[in-house]
Order: sequence, then C-alpha cells, then structure tokens
Amino acid sequence: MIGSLSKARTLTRWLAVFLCCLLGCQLASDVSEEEHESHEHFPPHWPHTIFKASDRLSELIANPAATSPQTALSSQISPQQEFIDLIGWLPILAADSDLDRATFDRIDSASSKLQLRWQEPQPKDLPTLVNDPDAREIITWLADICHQEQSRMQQHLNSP
Amino acid sequence: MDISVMLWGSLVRMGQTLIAAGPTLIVGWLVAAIFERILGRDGTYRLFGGSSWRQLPQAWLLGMLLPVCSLGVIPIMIQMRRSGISGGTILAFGLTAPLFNPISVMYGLTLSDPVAIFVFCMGSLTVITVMGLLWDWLFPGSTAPIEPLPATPYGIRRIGAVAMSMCQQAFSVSTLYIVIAVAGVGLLGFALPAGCLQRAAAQSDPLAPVTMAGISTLAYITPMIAIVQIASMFQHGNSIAASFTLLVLGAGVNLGMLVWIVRNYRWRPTLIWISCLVLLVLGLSYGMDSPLRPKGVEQADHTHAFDVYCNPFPSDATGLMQSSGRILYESLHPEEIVAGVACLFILAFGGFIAWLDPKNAWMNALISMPAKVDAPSGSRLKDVVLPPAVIAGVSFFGLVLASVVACFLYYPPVKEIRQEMHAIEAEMVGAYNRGNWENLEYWIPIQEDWSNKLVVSAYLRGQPLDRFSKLKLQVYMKKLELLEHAVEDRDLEEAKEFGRQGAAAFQRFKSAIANL
Repeated sequence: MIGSLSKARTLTRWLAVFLCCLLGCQLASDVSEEEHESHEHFPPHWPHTIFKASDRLSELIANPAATSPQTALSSQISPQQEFIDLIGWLPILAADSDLDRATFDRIDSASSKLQLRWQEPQPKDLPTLVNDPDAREIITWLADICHQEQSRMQQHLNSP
Repeated sequence: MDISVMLWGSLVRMGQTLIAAGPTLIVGWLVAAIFERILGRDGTYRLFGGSSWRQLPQAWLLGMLLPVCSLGVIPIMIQMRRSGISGGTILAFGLTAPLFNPISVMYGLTLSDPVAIFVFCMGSLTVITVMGLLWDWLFPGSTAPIEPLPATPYGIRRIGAVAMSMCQQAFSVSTLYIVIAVAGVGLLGFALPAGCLQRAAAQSDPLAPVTMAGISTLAYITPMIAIVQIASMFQHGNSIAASFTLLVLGAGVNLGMLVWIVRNYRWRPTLIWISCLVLLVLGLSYGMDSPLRPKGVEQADHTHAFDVYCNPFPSDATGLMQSSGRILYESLHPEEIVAGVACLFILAFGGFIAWLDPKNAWMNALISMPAKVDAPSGSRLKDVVLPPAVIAGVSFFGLVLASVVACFLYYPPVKEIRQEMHAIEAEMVGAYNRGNWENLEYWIPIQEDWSNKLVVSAYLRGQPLDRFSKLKLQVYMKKLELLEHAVEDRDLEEAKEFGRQGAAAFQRFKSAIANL
C-alpha cells in the first residue's frame, strides 16, 4: 500500500514536470503566434524573376557601387553577398520561367561553376567577383537571352 | 485559449493518431503472434542473437526491416521480454523498429540528401548500440526469466493459434500502453496552441534540438510521417540537429513505451536510460548539424511541419464539433479505413475471447491436440512438416516483401500521379478564384503529397527526375506554399496571384516530365 502511494506520488511529480515543460513551451509560443502574422517568404534582395536578376547583375557589373532599393533597406546585405546570392539563385529563377531546357542547363552549369569557385576561403570583394571572366560572360549572355525572351513574350501578348 | 478548443483539439489529434497507427498496429500484433506461436520462446531468443555480440546489430536490422511504428512495437517488446531477451536488446529494437521501414527509407533517399539518410541510419545504429550496451552494463540483472510456453502444433492449428494470438495481443495489457501513448499526443494537442511550433526548428536556433526533444518524446509519429517531416525540414533549410532528434525521439519513443519501461524495469533505470538517450541523441544531433546542412537551400522563416503536434484550432475557433469531424474525415485514407476496420474486428474478437474464455482454455485445447500427419499416399515430399524457423523466416521475408510491393502501390506510376495532380490543380483554380478557403485547405496538402510521391515514383521506376524537372517541381511547390499562406491569411488577391503563378509553374513542370 505504502509502495503504491509512493509510486503514485512519483508519477504525479513526473507528470507535473512534463506539464511545467509544456506550460513553459506554451508561454514561449504565445510570442510566436503573434509573429506568425508576418510571413517572410523571400530575402529582401530576392529578385522574383530571372529578368530582374539579369538586370541587377548587369547593373552590378557596370557599376559595382550601385545599390538596389532592396539592399538599401537591408544594411545586412553587402553588394558582394547580393552578387553571390543572385548568381546562386539563377537556376531556380530560370526554372520559374519559360526558358527552354538547353538555356536552363547552361545557366545552371555556369551558376554551379561560379559558386564552387567562390566557395574558396579567401574573401572576395565585389570588383574581383564582377571581373571574373566567366561571370561576365554568363551575365552578358543571360542579358541577351532575357531580352529575347521578353521580346517574345511581348509579341505573344500583342498577337491577336 | 478556450478550454473547449483545447479539448476538441486534443481529441482530434488522438483520433488522427489512431487512424494513422492502424496499419502498423496490425503488423505489430501479427509479429508478436508469430513470435509467440511460431518461433516460440527459444526461437525468438535465437532470432535476436541469444546472448552473443550479435544481439544489438540483429535487433537494429530486424527493426529496420519490419514495418511497425512505436505503438505496434509495444506488443513485440512484451513478447521479447517473455522470451528472456536482455533489456538492452529489447529497448534497442523498440527504439529502432519505428524509425525506418522500406517505404520510408525509399522516400527519404529520394527527397532528402541520400548521404544524410545514410548518416541518420548510422546515427540510429550508434544510438541503439550505445544505449543497449549501456543498459546491459548498468542493469545486468534486468532480464526476465523465460516464461514457459507449450509448442504450437503444425498445420491448420498453427494458423488458428497465430490468429487467436493476434486477437489476444490486441486485447491485452499492450493496448493499455497504446492508449497511454495516444493520451500523450492528446496532451500535446491540449497544451500547445495552433501553429506554436512554426519557428521551433530554425537552423539559426541553437536550442531547436532541445525544444524538439521536449516535444517529440510525447508525440507519436509513424515512420512515414517522420521521414516526410525530415524531408520537409531539409527542403526548408531547418535545423538538421532538430530533424535527427525528431526522428529518434519522435518516431522511436512515446509516453506508452516509457510507461511500459517503467513498469518492467522500474523508475531509476528508466530515468537513467531516458536521460542518457536524450543526451546522446542531442550530442549526435549537434555533431551532425553543420556537416549535413544542405548547401544552396534558403532557410525558411517558419515551417508547418510540426503543426500536427499542436492544437489544430486557432484560439477563437467556433463550430468545433463540425470542424473536428471534417478534419478526421479528411485524415482517412483508403488503406487506413481498411486497417482501422480490421483493427476493430481484431480487438472485438480479442475481447470476445477474453470474455468467454478467461482461462485460455481454447488456445490450450488448440495447441494440445495431438499432432497428426496423414500418411501420404505417394511421395513424402508432398506432405512435409515445415519447422517453425522456416515458417517464421517465410513470414518475416513475406512482411519485408510486402513492404517492397507496398512501395509500388504507395507510389503509383508517374503518369497516374500526373493525371491526379492535373485534376487537383483544376479543383484549386476554381477554389482560389471563388475564395473557397476550405476547399483549398483540403487540396493543397494533398497536392504537396502527390508532388513528393511523384519524385519517389520516378526514382523507383528507374527514371529519376533530372535537375531541370526537379527545379520546376520545386518552383511549383514553393507556389503551393505561398498559396497556402495566402489561404491562412484569407487574402483573396494574394491567393489569386499565387494560384495563377502556381498554375503556370504546374504547366511548365508537366511539360518538363512529359516523356516520363
């Protein structure tokens, strides 16, 4: 009988510990419930389309000091980080467009190659990055492709 | 939070648990019956390596192959204890069996990084080996003596004895532990408000694995749900440490199992064991977090993967009874309906046997009938008495083979999935244009599920998606997620915009996989 009472007391204590943990979690979670209202789906410098990414990359090549409205809002993102991120996002942005498989493959392989090269530990500033001949080549080529694609889309919209 | 919301939410989560557990519970009862009536005590003891060094690796391997969950494993653990198997091996098996099965490994290999799944498998082997050895070293006298059990005769009586044993396993003390485990899930649903774990597994949060350890010990997760959540965590750039913790403690442990361990091995060993387990899992989790972190994946600011552990209703929800019924109805899949009905029948028969035959006379009569072999008229080979080891081997091999066949049923051909997704996309177009939120809340998760299944199906049939198609699908799934959030916010304009983007992404994806 005494053993059973002791077991019951211990069980109660154990359950109390669990409930306290849960209560703590619940109190902590009240904050996250309020935070839930604002979903952040993309980083501030996410370009949304391959065309905008291409424009911004061309802009950075032409003028490395140029800030975009997005990066101006977020002081945490340096221009070189923006450049590296944009190059890394090119494949997914290309996949979110009507660009054909061959064009996608070229963008994807150039993006992977550049990302791999830039993973090396020594820090790189923006002029070094934008003067990478492979980066310049793919950005120039991409700008042409995007221009053609936008013209095609415009024609498609204008056609009766 | 309103008490009625907490209660209804808790009931819904318990109902969903019972629905999800049906198929693996039947497997658990069947395996326990095979252990008891075909393998017998000695055979079960030998199957787990006896007292040799092989007991832990064998427990791990058997656990990996058998499609049981952390509820279905309880009757098996009871049989193992009655067979004189060491506590360390029983707990090792109990921990591993619910983590993986052939279907879930296939899913994980395809949708997560295969290296990560391999590391997770090896991590689980490390956990059970260390925990098994530790238990047997700390508590060497914890092995129960073998309970005597008369041999089961061969032939139709053996089949009858297995069927009767299955019913008895279902209507036994093991079901009480299962009910306790389900109550643990209800407790989580009662205490955690809707969506409160959406930021619980952020990659940047060093406490994410600890939070996950606290939650997942009470939670019940089937192997399939565990691997789906892990794949989702990888895709959303969540904490890898938290996902390993979720796998081992969420899928492997539940409240019922903990109570069973306490009842059989007492408080002190259980507390020491669970503390060591949590510490070891957390240690491994933190160790593998950085090396396994997927590259190039943007970290999502929140995830819906753990919404299933929280209350399903927001604090101001109304019409709770109707909503609960709808959620439970939507949780029912055909295989779960069949398994649920079968479970009820097995339980009813078990109850019937326990009520009419409390002294187990029927089983004794069945197994004590003299063995009788009809004299074969021709060759003796036509009437061979198969030894129990062969029957058990065929049964286990059959279960594993059934799992492999189930893979092909669970993941239908790509063409069929594509047609299914096309039909759902058409349903969603109408729904977001009309602002039919409930319809969208129903279809979006189904479409996400089909999207994941399509990847696995293509892989299973030797035509894995190339990078072009994979990224097209990734874009489509992102649009679905955005639509899902617009639905949550009840924002019609956003829903229409993301819906249109999703429809375009789906068309592109369909064109990309047109040759599959």
